[in-house]
Amino acid sequence: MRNRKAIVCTTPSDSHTWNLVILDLFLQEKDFNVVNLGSNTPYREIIETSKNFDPDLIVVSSLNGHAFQEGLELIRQMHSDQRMQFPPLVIGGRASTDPENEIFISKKLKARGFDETFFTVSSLHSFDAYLSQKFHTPLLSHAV
Amino acid sequence: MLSKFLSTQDSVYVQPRMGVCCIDEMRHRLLHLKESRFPVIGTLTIDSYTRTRHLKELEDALKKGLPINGFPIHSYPVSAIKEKITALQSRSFFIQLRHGTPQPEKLFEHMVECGLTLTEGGPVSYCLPYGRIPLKTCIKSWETACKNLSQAGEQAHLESFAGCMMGQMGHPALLNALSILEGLFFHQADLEDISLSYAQGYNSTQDLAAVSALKRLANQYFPKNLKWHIVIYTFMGLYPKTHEGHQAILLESLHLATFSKAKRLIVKTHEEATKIPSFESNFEALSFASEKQSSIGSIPLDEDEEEDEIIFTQSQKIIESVLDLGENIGNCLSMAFEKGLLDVSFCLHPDNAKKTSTYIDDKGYIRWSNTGNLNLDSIKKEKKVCSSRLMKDLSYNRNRFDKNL
Repeated sequence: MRNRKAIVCTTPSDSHTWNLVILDLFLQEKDFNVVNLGSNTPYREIIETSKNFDPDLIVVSSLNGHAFQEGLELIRQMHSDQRMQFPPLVIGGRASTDPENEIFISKKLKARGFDETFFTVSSLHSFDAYLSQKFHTPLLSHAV
Repeated sequence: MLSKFLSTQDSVYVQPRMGVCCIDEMRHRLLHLKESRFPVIGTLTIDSYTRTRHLKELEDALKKGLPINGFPIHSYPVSAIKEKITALQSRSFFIQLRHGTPQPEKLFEHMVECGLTLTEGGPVSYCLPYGRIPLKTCIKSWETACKNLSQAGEQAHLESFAGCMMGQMGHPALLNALSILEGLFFHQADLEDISLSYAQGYNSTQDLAAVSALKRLANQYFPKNLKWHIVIYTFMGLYPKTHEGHQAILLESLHLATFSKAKRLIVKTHEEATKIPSFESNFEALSFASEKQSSIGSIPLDEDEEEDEIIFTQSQKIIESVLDLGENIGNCLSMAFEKGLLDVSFCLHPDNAKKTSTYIDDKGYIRWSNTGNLNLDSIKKEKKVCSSRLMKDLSYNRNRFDKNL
């Protein structure tokens, strides 16, 4: 079975990088080949890389509170690019300081096309379970 | 002038990060610091719109009364800034402009026009940790920016941020090498008074060794006419959540600053873990750091001369491999990153080689797990970093200082 491929990225306004470093390593430990697009990722870069790299999953990590607006914009730009079908997209991190708001944002993002969202405290654990279910990767017991 | 002034002072000068939108409030805070009994340096931190040069968005935000997270230096007339801010400067009260701008040519030109002459950053240290602007572009920008700043003559002062790259997990040998290289870059761009930073790590004995090595490296590589001093930063990674934890980590950074005979300490506040600090929490941290100076000297800090020598030698090897590439430091920096002779661990910038990594050992020392293409063959390791280990390491200081309380 070939290794799965994943893109790790964030949104254009977000400068955080430790989250991207951790996710990159985490996915590699689950035998994904990872392309890490780094901080302040332009939408076009995600789209063009996806076309060239043909990943099984795009992972967007957002910590600066702009996940809602920028997550929607990413989906919008992807859908308006008619030249290809896009792989599943997931988004996680921190969408709001208000947990109820995060639930609302999750629902909206999923309705618009994100396959799953991971905005809770134990998001890495949920992400681990999602990967296990979708790609049959073994659960990493240390994921908290 | 800053280095010369500080060389006459026995105290460690404490300094906050501080910037607000309203010029009168900014003046009020700086005046409060100036009139306090602390050995203190004033700070003027600019806002993020100004930093990223989104001046149109800044104008819109100002019109709408939206919160601005720093001082919008381009939005006030030069005369107003001179009258209300610059006029506060004196022979013993300095104001440093802090900014995080990767391309500061216009900012430096403007600040000099306003009579402000102290600032910070660097072509590498303000390029790689943030965003995606090509390193070559930043290097060109900083060459011009430094020359703009040098128009202020002997008042001009530039602090290299290289000792703080990524905020944590940086190997002291690499950080020191970058500091020296940025210092040489500043000097080549006509600056004569600079400072070198070092961010508190996870074990102050290793930190003390690193700062000692940094001073020896500066003495070796800097020309005699380049004046310099050392500035310590209270830990910049995942910060303790408790008030007691904050005081303990701040005290440890003061301990380091005192024993290493650094001249300045940039403090953190107890609010750091959750929000942008208030003036009150800043004042509290400055007060604490000032008051504890006399007693902290009586608490011993273990030295590790072997570690000092190890860091010194590794830094030397890295520096030499970069200087070997040519005469122009800017070109050397660019080529060095291309070849991986400089490589900042865990930095995701497109121009970073991304082959080196570090971990924290049992003592709390930062160690290499992989030296990539750095000129350090003798200690090349090839250990793969584990995500759970890295997560644990990132929380090392938070756990260390919060857990006992």
